[in-house]
Amino acid sequence: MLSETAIQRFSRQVLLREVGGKGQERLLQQSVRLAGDSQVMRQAQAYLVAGGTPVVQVEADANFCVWPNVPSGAAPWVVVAGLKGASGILWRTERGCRDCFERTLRRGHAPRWRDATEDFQLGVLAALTWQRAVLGVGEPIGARILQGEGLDPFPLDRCRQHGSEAAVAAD
Amino acid sequence: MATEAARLRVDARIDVVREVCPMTYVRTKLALESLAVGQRLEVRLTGEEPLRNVPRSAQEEGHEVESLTPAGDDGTWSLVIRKGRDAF
Repeated sequence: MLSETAIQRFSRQVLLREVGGKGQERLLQQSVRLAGDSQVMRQAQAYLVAGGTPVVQVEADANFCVWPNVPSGAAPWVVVAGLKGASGILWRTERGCRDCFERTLRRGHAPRWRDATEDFQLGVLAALTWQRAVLGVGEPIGARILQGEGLDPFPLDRCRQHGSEAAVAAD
Repeated sequence: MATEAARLRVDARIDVVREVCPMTYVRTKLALESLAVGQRLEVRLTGEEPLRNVPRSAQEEGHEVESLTPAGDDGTWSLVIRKGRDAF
């Protein structure tokens, strides 16, 4: 149950249909283990904390990081990575296939910022991706790349079990 | 008669007379989350903005506004909402 302080602080977020009181409780309980001190990670951290997510800086066992760091431990996982020349975000929840995630991440590279604002944009969008994963909004696994003004879907590299595009969630 | 009958079957009550928007609906939303689908919440409220916003917001989120009636001579109203759906 939300404390009165939390109700007052997060009232406008609680009003969102995707959040509510229960969603806000999930955000407050699910910590980010963040690796890296880059601009993109600092932006992400600011948005995560503003939304109520506890953030812990770690050297290892991160669940939120920038390529070439690889997440580990319990999901959700969010990685900011370069994907086929563009910068993007890769994520999975507990229901998302770990093999599909890792195969896709292996094809990644360091993010390449097109301009000074892109790392800022991706930091914010990575934070929103985490929040959506915790709230159970959207797909349990996926990738998006930043092209133009928004994020476009990026095809995952499927494992043998989920070789067809129809197989999204892990069994 | 229908209003009185509904009042007798209210499962929870909150008073948001002293709140200002949007806290009026924040409190209402949190109270609805604690109920099961089909249960009723009575909200005591006053003021033009809450009287407009709270019923509308409840309907937009899939709940049913069963009644909105004056609660007394002090300008307060009684709103009865029947929970229509769970968010999660």
